Amino acid sequence: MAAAKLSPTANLLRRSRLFALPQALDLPPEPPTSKSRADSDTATLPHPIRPSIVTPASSLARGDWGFKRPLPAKSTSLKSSKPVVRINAIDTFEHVTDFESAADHTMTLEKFQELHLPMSLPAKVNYATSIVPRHNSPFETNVDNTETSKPINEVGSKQFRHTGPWLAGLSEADFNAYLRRVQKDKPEILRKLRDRFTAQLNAERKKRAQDDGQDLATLAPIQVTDEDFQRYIKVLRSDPASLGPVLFDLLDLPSPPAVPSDRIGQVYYQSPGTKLSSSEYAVWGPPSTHPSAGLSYSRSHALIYNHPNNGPQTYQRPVEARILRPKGRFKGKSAKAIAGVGGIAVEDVNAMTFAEQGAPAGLASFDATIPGGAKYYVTPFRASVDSYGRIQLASFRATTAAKVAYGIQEYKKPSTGPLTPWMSVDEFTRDQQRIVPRLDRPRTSPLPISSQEPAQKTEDVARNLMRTLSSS
Amino acid sequence: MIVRQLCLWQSRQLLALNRQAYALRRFLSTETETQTAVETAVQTPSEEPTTPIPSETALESSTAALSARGTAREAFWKKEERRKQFRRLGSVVTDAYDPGDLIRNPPKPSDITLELLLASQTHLGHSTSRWNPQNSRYIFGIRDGIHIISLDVTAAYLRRAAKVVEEVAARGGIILFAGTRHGQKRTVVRAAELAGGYHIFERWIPGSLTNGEQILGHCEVKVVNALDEELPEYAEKLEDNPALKPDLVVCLNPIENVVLLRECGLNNVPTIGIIDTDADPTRVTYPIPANDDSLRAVGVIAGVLGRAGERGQHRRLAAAKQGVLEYRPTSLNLDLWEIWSWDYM
Repeated sequence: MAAAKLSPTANLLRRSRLFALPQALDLPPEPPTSKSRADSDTATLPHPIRPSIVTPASSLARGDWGFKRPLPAKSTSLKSSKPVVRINAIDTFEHVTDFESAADHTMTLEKFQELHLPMSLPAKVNYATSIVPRHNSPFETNVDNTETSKPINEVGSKQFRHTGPWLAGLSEADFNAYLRRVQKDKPEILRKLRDRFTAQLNAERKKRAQDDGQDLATLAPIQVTDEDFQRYIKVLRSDPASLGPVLFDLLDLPSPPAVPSDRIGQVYYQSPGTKLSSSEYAVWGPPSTHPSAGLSYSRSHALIYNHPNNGPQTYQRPVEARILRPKGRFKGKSAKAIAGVGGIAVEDVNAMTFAEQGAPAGLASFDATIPGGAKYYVTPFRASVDSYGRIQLASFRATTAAKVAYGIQEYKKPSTGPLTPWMSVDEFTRDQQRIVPRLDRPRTSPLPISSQEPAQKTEDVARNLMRTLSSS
Repeated sequence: MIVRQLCLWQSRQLLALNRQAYALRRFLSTETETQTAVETAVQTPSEEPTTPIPSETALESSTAALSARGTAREAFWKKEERRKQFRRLGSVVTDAYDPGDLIRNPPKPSDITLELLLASQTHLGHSTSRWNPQNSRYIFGIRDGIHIISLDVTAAYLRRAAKVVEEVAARGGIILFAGTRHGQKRTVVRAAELAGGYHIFERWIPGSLTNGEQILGHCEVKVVNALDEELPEYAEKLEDNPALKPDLVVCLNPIENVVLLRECGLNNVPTIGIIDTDADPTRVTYPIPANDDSLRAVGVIAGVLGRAGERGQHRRLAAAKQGVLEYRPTSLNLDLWEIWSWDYM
């Protein structure tokens, strides 16, 4: 073995924790568009590309993170109670260790795990039809397969990875490079094709013999001659509809996106049905990670919270969502509201109509008067990771029943009510008041004038009543 | 009929009357009497001393304070005893890394292993663009843009340096530990303490060797015998002697202490230094190729050298007790210069 020949130093180094750190992943691909994009270099990436690193408390106090030099306390232990860093470079020309806080992704993961959601395979969540796609765990045996898994040859088994590239996502240079690689492997591919052809012929003959009632034991395997094989290749070449499935199978290519409807009538290289575990992968490409992305390893959604007072609950505890963008028109397009749930941006779904009764404050339009920003409670019900490694979360607005069980109340704006005469804007316009009203504050009258009198009245009545009762 | 009507209509008004609400539960447990005897811990003052005390109010208060202190002390010892009793329980975690051990109980030269050096990050060199090609023989390879210093080379050179420190200490030489980087203070002081040497953790004053008469001339010097006992009768002989020079300098950060190393070179003082991949190994006599930025790595190296010095001092004192000396003993009538000259022979 190669490892046995290594020097003790090399062996130790190979097994050290620092050398076991995975290499950084590539940055998430930019969308293939010529439009100018306004995003920040310092924004949190959709998925982490470097590992997060922690250190035990005793070493943290000394700044020892196991790297070239101690990391400064000012940006680690003094800044956070649970500092997590990611290392960009162990040492640089300037004699500094390039590091930054990894709390963004670490906290997102922690928050996600508090949602108690299993990961599902991606599916298109269509809110308009109110049919929620079912939870399909990516850990089921028939879908949790790669090209090397054992159950891959069983009927109906799906996989999340192919050896071949996704042709629709290749650039021209990449495609040419792939073509050259395929051309180099031509003899091997032809051998596979010949095996395939032989197997097909044998199967056909066996079927025919079965139908004719012949003895299967006496059947000798068919020997394919070179002329037969060349004829077979010619047939395939002349008929794209039958060559397509053979090609995809031989080269183990993931199935391409659906053919546009205007080309359905024409002749094209047909592809076999997708072997990928989700139909979304056929549209957006095979996933770049395992479909769960390691966010959650539970298979089932069947998890019930047992409330100490109220018993088992249908809903998990609703989570507070911050309204990142109220619904409205942005850049000429009507857009849904966007809410942040546990650090993940989610399109608000229920905001379909523009005039909504009982909608959370700040959802229809930006409201600066809500203390701490506009928030509301949601019940997340489905989480998946798309082809690019982004978390796709779907949530419904928390129902009253879900909120009541946990004693959660939505923020209510203090009701303005009819303006009292002394607060009316008319007064100010008529220049009878010297005080300028604060229009950006919620208007509440300081003295509840009307509510004081009836209480007085009822108490008087009661006193009179007691007096009359005792006297009689 | 009338009465019923009255109750029906007026009872709501009755509720509005301002009177004490009927409480459904007790708020204080003292409101009910229980039959169970409750043992309340009452602090009993410890027994008064039997010696008669003059009954003065001021003294009384002081004895009360004394007795309170006595009970506190008793409680403390009781707690200590309990802790001692329970400390034996549970599992014992062995071989766990405790950063404080580098100061409390630094490793001995015999403890040097590749694993220890790897764990203390001695193998991490500088960015490849910062290298000094003279260090190429210590470098194992490149990883993640930095040079990796070979662990076995570090171990070998560290063992050699430890031997040098031990032998210098065994011959009664003056060893100076210099580490002027932030955070190295405790390490340097501890190593010097172990090796019976001297330390610098702030700044080497340039010229302390080449111009020692001016800079260190006023410093106190003493003459000791083989058992390190001071000999005050030599005090007046020391007046016109030059400032002392170390016999070995251990420099933990040679990059910042180029002046010190140069002065040592001019004065024929041997030096030991931690040479990172960007340092010049020819500046020191005995290089130790290792990471000089990590406090843990520096702590291990300084600890090993301090332990080596400690062993040397033990050897020297043990030999001196048996009358074996590394130098010819002198008497007062001999000129002091001869003592110095013996030193350099």
